[in-house]
Amino acid sequence: MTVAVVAPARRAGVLWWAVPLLLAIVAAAAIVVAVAGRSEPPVPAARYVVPAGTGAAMDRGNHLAVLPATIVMRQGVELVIVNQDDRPFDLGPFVIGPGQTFRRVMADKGTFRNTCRLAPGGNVTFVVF
Amino acid sequence: MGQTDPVLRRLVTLVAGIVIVLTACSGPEDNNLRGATLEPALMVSTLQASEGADGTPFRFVADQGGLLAVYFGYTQCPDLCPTTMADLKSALRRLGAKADRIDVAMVTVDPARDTAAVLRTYLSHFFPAGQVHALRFEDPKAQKAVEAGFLATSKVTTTAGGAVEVSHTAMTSIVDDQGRIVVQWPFGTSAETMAHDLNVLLGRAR
Repeated sequence: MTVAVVAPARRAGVLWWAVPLLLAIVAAAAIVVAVAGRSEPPVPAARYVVPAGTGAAMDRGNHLAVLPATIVMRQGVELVIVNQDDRPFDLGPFVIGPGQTFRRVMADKGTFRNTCRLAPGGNVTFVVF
Repeated sequence: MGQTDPVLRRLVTLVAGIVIVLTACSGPEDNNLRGATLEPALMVSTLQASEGADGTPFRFVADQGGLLAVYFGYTQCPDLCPTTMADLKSALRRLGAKADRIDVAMVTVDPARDTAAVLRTYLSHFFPAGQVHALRFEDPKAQKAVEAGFLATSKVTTTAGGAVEVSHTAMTSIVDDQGRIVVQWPFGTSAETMAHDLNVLLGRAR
């Protein structure tokens, strides 16, 4: 009879401190995961399309302004340029081949001037704020 | 003594499972590449160069699960090339042991002055011998073909006064083990950004 009374008391004693401890561990893990797994909110892309025939039109003297002279973007916005033409186009040091899609997240703030004949005057300036 | 309560054991197992699942579900904060990408990606696996004084054939493909950083430049470059090499070196340092999966190849655009020995010595200031490939072409046409494959250009001119002027695309291209250019960094890309992108790409290549 004595043994039967003592055993449940010991088990209850163990669980008394174990349950809050384990719940605290789970809560802490959830907080860590929530913070570490947090991702930046989706940022809309600045998207431009180079239509088919752009290069040929330029050859005829029609200077299409596919890109504006100045593009103002928030930091972290992705610049997307889709080249649907059959010719490559330069964007500063980059070359966007026929049928290619160029992507670049504008990660740094500042003003960046690039030669690009897709823009009026042959230059495009990115202002990233 | 020594025996764990069965209820407690189940509780511990449950908590451990929850922690493992939560940890597995938490990804890195930023898996987006910060350099520029092109889709479809440029393939450079068929391009060939030669390495070293003996002209060992070299293909622009990374080792399995690794990456290859390719840069076109020249050793007497006063600014762009040494800065880029130093940034790349710094980026690889930031990666620690992971950097072992990354090789660096520099193709000289000034082969007349950059002999194999000159190029090798130059690169040894930045990278260990086993990690770097010093590439040069005897045939200008072959060099131009490889440059075109990377959408790069270069021009070496000599002025009336005898000064050599070199212009070249200052771009670092990262090639994967399939021979695809997976990201490009223009001059001025920080070591931090390089390290970030390399880390992302190595994670994808695992």
